[in-house]
Amino acid sequence: MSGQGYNYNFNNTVLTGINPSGIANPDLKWEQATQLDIGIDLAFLNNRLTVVADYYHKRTDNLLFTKAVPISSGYSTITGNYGSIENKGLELGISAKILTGAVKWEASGNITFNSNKVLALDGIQNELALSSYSLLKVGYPLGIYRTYILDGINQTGEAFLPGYDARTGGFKLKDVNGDGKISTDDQVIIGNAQPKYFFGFSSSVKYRNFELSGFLQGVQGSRLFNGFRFTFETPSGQVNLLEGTANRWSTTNPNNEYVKPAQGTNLPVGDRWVEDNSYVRVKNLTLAYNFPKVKFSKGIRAYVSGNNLFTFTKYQGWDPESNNYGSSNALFYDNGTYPAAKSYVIGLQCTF
Amino acid sequence: MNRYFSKSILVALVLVVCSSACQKLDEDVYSSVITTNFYKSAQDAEAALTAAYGSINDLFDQAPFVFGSDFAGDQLWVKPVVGRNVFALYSYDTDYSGPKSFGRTAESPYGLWQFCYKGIENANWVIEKVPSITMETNRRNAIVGEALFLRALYHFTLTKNFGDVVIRLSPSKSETDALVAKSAKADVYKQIYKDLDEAITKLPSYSASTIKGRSSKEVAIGLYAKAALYAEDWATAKTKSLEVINSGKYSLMADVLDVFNVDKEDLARQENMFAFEGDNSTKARGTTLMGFCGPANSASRDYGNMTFGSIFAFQAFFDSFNPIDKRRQLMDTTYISVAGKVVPQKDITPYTVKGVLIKKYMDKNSVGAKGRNNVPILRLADLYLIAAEAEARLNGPSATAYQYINAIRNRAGLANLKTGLSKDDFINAVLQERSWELFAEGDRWYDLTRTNTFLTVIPKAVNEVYPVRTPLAKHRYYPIPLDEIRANPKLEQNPDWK
Repeated sequence: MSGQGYNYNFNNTVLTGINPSGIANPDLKWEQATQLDIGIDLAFLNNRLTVVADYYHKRTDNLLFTKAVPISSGYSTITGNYGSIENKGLELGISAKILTGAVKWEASGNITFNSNKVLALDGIQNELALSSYSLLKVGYPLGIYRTYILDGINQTGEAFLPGYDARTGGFKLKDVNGDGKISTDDQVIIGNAQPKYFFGFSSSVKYRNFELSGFLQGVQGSRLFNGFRFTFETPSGQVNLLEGTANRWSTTNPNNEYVKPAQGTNLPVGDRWVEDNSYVRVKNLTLAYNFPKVKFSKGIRAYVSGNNLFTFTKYQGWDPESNNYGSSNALFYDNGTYPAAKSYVIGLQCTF
Repeated sequence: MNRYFSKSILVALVLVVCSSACQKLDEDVYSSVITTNFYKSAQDAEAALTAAYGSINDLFDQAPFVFGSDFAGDQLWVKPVVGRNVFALYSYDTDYSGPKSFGRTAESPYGLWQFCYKGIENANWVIEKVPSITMETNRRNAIVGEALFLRALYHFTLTKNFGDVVIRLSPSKSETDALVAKSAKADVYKQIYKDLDEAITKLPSYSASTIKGRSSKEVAIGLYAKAALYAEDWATAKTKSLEVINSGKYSLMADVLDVFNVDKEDLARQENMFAFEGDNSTKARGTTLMGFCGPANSASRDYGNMTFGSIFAFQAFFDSFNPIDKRRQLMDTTYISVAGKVVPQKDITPYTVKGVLIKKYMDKNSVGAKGRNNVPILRLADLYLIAAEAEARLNGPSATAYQYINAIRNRAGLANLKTGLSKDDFINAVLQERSWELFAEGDRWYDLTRTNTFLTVIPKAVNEVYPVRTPLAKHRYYPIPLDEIRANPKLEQNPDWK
């Protein structure tokens, strides 16, 4: 029962109304997971080379999910154990002591391939739109993007299809289903925020008292909705825009990239803002010197270290690693989150 | 020996832990109030009834009760923006995607569907649970009567807009309860009659002590008359409307302008039988109607302290009034600006030089866009015109029929209607009178659809903002929102919208 919102004014005084806040579901239960793991650990050459391989397949059923109920019931959703999801993948790790003499060199790497698939949502519908660009769909991974395909800009005198942003200087959207108009049916699934694989690599070399170590990681084959760029490249008025929009379309400045402004409207979300955010990043490099033992201390170590020194990516946002909006329904959205900082550290570490 | 003993204790402990852990986890909820332990006291009954009234706030806050139909009608036009123009142009779809794309479902027929069914659900809990509560009998009966009246009002609003609709007579207690198929329009009206018959026996008559905002026996009878008019049950429409008029409980305001004078809203209760109770206090809900009607940028203090210039009357509608008709003063072709200057008609709105302001919902003491205006849901003038029409449809333009339309005309400063009209001409005169009397009250479009005249009337109601308006036969009723159809396998879309 709740007293939220359904109040009324009698004798010019607001009285509080109380009504059920939802349809009860007495059958709620725990989610259920079944998992298969096959793993193998191998060691060669007197443990100088070790290899780990794991295959996993996990299916989770009875996931809590809200299902739409008819509005005529007085409510919009009911919560129940409706969802199912599957994750399967392969994890490989290798680590080696390459040199063990005066120069000690160790290296290890790992790579993970995961594939994820929604098997059921609410048991009735096959898809659920989460936003104007993302959705959940049975048979597809979490985090797929669906947008219009941008095909340039409607130029002066050019005929254009009726529907969304149908105006000279507006986006020319691809009529995917060929029905002669631009509607929500012309949106296409254009990519997925889940990477094809991700990997990490670390290595260290020691020689006498010197030690050099590093760690890099990479993510490949994923896409990210650059919401920051979308917002600030969309000329709807009332906000400052990115520099490129200075070159916006006008009758005297025709182009195919930046549309004519349209105040107070929602311009279409197009594929151009769903970017490939694959990256390789050197997360850490450290050079250290370990002083010989002295009387008061078990060890003194001086080091210089750098974090997030290099990032290799085609992604246009601030940080290819930023990945959410802070709310569960709008994952995989780069809202211009503060990027991972590049930092340099000089340190002295004493152990007593 | 000692070591052996302790080991067996350990084994026993492990067994105990395991067997208790393997039991089913059953949780009793202690901390929340649920439907099975609410509805126990008189206070619970009142709070549950208030929630059933609460949907009236939703119907008038963003005002789908008025805009849901008036955007489509021939009296006023709405500023052509996304999600609103689709109703003036009949280009809406079953998903209401235009209003959705701009967050405007709450002012559209989608909102009517949503809010009416929420109100019905809340009324159904009252109707089911309150009769078994131990409390003072008269008040208990009245509470159930009010809930039955509200259920009838919501079902009536739904069927006016959507034709065949879902009839809901019990609360949603489970997922299965949530799925109900729709019923034919005729059955919806049968249920409305049934609910009102029962409400009339339970509700007290209107009196000076009736709490402002609550319905009375006469209000229920009045709604009965209006529903009967729509069901083309002329005899019932006549009987019930005369019952209200002759009850002596209500009377027409002497000056029609006072019906909409916010400072006289309590006096106006003698005519304004049931209304949305607007208020500008912090907790209360106001109506956006005031803000929509006043000029843009809050340019005139007379209309309210925050107004947007969103709806205007068609010039042709303004011109259809006899200049001596007092009701024409509920519109204006100039206004006084905040600086005290007279702003001419050509500058009222940038969309046309023929802007006509609507003055039914003005409140110069509004708090921001929140006006105190009580917006009529049922008023006595309507019942006079129902009586005139029902009588004419039954017995032709009799003296009785003339009596009721002339009461409304005379009050507006007009002479009696020309005598000797044919039946059809008389009925058309009543429909025209309804248009003049009830404009911008969310009534006219339903007159056009119930008489099926919208196909010929609307194409003539155009201006430079909406030069072409061509509704199709399917626009007589709105499509059931696609969200409802998707979630309700028992429900089929209206045939015209499939």
